[in-house]
Formats: sequence, C-alpha cells, structure tokens
Amino acid sequence: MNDNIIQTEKLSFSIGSKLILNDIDFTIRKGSITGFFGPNGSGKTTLLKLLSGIIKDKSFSIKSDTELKQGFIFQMVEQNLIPWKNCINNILIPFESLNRNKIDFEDVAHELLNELGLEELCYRFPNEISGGQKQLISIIRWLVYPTDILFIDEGWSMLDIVQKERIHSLIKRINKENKTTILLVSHSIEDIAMICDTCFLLSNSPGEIIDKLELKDGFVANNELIWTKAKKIFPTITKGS
Amino acid sequence: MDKSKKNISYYNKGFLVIILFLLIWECVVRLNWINDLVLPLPSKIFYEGGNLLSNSKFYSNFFSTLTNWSVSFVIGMFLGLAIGFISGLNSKFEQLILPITAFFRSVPPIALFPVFLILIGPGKLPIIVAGILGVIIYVFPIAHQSAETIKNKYQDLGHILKLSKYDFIKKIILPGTLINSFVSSRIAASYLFAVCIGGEIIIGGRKGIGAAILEYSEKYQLEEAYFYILIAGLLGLTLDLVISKFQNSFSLKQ
Repeated sequence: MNDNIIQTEKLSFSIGSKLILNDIDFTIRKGSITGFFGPNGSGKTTLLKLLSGIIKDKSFSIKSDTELKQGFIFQMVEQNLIPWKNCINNILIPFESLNRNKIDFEDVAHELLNELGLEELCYRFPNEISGGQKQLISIIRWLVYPTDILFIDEGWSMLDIVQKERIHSLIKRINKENKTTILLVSHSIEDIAMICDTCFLLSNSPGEIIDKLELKDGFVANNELIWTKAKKIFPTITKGS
Repeated sequence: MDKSKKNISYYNKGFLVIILFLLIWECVVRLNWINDLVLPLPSKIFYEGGNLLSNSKFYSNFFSTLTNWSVSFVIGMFLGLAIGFISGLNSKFEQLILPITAFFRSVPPIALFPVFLILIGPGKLPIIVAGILGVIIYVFPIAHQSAETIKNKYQDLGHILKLSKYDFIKKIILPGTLINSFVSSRIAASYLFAVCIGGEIIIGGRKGIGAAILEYSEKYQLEEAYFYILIAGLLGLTLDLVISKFQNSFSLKQ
C-alpha cells in the first residue's frame, strides 16, 4: 500500500436494482484529509459505510491495511452517543469496548474537555446537552482514542459558525496529532474548503467521481475552486444560492 | 427543581383536594343528605380504622397484599424483560411469541381468575400467576421494542468499535433495554396492584386487603371496608412514589 491507506478499483454498489455507486476508483494517502462532495442521493454515506466495512460487499475490491483502527462520526448525532452514559464515559467507550483500562485515558479526556471549555459537560448525559455539544463530544472521543482512519459523515451542517470553527480545528488537530487519515463526506463546500487537502466531486445518482481537486491554496482559493467545479453537478448554481 | 421533589409537591396539592373531599363528605353525611348506613362518616371510618390498626389481623392482610404484589412484580419484570429482550434480538423467537402476547394483551388477567382458580386452586398462587401475567403484558412490548431499536440504532457503532456480538449485547443492548423497561415499569406496577386487590376480592382468599374489603362488606361493617379501601389507595400511592423515584434517576439516561 506504500503511502496509500485505501485504494478502490471499479467500486460499484446497488441496493436491489438501484445502482447507488458506479465505477468508483480512487486512492487515499495516509495522513490526508479527503473530502467527498456531492448532492443528496449521490451515495456519499454508502461510500463511507462500504469503506469502513459497515456495509459488506465482496463484489469489488477495496485495498486497505488490515487491522486498521477506525473511527466514525455518524450523520445522525444520536448514533454517536450512548444515552445512558455520561459525556466522559461516552468519550471513553472505545477503551471500554477493547477492555482496556480507561482510567489512564480519563485524565486525557478531562484535560481536553477543560482546554475546550467543556469540562462542565463531563458528567452530563446526552439528553442534557445541545446538538452541537453532542457533536463536539463525539469528535473528542476520536482525539482521545487515536485511530488510523476516521470517517466523518456530514454531521455539523446545522451548527453555528462558532461551533463549526471549533469542530474544524478539532478535526485538523486529530489529523495532525494522531496522524489520522480523515475521510469526510459533505454537501457543504465551506467545510471541505476549510479542512480538506483533496476533494472528490461525486455526480448525481448513481454516484460517480467526476473530478479530483487538490486543495492547497487556502480557504478562499479552495472555496472558489470547488464552487467552479461544482457547476458540473449543479449547472444552475451561483455563489449566492 | 429536582424531579422527585416536584413529584412530591404535586402529590401535596393532591392531598389538599383529598382533605377537602373528606370534609365535604363529612358535612354531607352529618347534614343527613346521604344516609350514614349507605355512606359512613369519614370520622367514624378513621375511628374504626384506629381500632383495626391495633389488631394484628390488619398487618397480616396488609403484608399479604404487599407480598403478592412484590413477588408478582419481580417475577413478572424478569420474565417480561427476558422474553421481550430475546424476541427483540431474534426474529424467529419473535414470530413464535408475538401472537401469544397479542392474545393475552386483549384478555385482562382478572378475566382469567376463574381459570386459574380451577387450574391452581384457591390461595395466593392464582393471584400471583395472574399478577405475573399482567406485568409481562406491560413490560414485554417495551423490552421487545427497546432491544430491537437499540440493536438497529447502534449496530454501526458496534462495528466501528469492533465489539463482538456478545459484547455488543452485553454492553449496549442489555443496559439500554433495562433502563427503558424500568422507566416504563410504573404503569405495570399500578396495574398489578389493581390485579392483586381484585384477585383477593374475586378469589375470596382469607388474607389480603381485597379479602378484608370483601369480608367487611359482606358483614355490612362499612367503616372497616372503607378503611381498607383507603389503605389500598395509600399503599398504591406509596408504591407509585417509590417507583417514580427510581424512574427519575433512570429517565435522565434515556
């Protein structure tokens, strides 16, 4: 695999007779932050679930390092947190599931929450905190527990700009500190332009990769580049829309 | 405000209404608007009740009902949870069990007393069996639905955390199902209390609050019968308060 962590060849996937993804070929570099941008129904979530093995299908080939430690931030915020565990225990779930001593990492989680000004959430249950705070807690989990690859399925499109900025910086921090490869699907150009270094554009259903963009020139240039290329998918799109 | 304190405050307001009701009752009977042979004076009920309280038979009746309720509740909760939990996880078992539970849901356990009486004979046992059935009918669908929903909701997270099937059940599905079912146990507990009192009246056992109500009614000692009705209400209310306190500590985690 050399520097690549995932490589797909002719990945196609159908549910019943409906083709969801068609001939998807790409490689993902280790340590990169890759975005998949596409309209609703282009198969972005399905693609992440196939890559992570949540959906199993042997009709195509996905080459990846075996025994990758994976993390996943689900689109539905309720799927990320267990309601009967408080925030600190939700953060420490991966350690519990691996039967590892979570006490060693509890201090790390507390420090992190303190640093982010979220210490007061520690012993609150998910139904006592806001949607944005739930999203932050589910991201902090993968900062405390380092993974090789983290899949992010949208998740913060509804949040305000302050929360979004915090989440963007957390994602970058996970990537930098833990050397975690990040795969993000979104239909928000700003999210991708802000944190990704590569972006794949997906077409309308069935999803096909129609372009690969290298995002190296900062937010404004990246944003402009994606907007321009996104016209291939949404011909009538304008920046004000 | 703390939920349990709030609950007690609600009950306090309710007690004021009860006191007002008793005062009106006392006045209505004293003014002879209703004959005290039909509706005894509350003051007389409490006076006779005082005498009953000094008699060991009262405590025997009281604890007999409480025992019937407790045994039925614990066994019914356990069985309802177990059957609901397994059927929520296993579709084959679900197919087997759903028609039976749907059948019993439409037949109130009180209607089965005569059958249990013939099958098991008189005594506590038919009441306990009917009570267990009553609790199962309430707890089963909640446990079933909880197990099924939690399994579907968190199976992707379970995959990512690389949980084995056993760990996924033990660490995710089981605690969630238990919490959801306990939160819903209050209705089952109240219903069970009605089944126990009803059972003691219908089966005509020798012990229990229901049996005492029947006995004193037949002897036309209405003050004692009313006092036992009052005790039944207070006991039901106390059990409801205890369970609601448990509920509040769990409902946060829902």
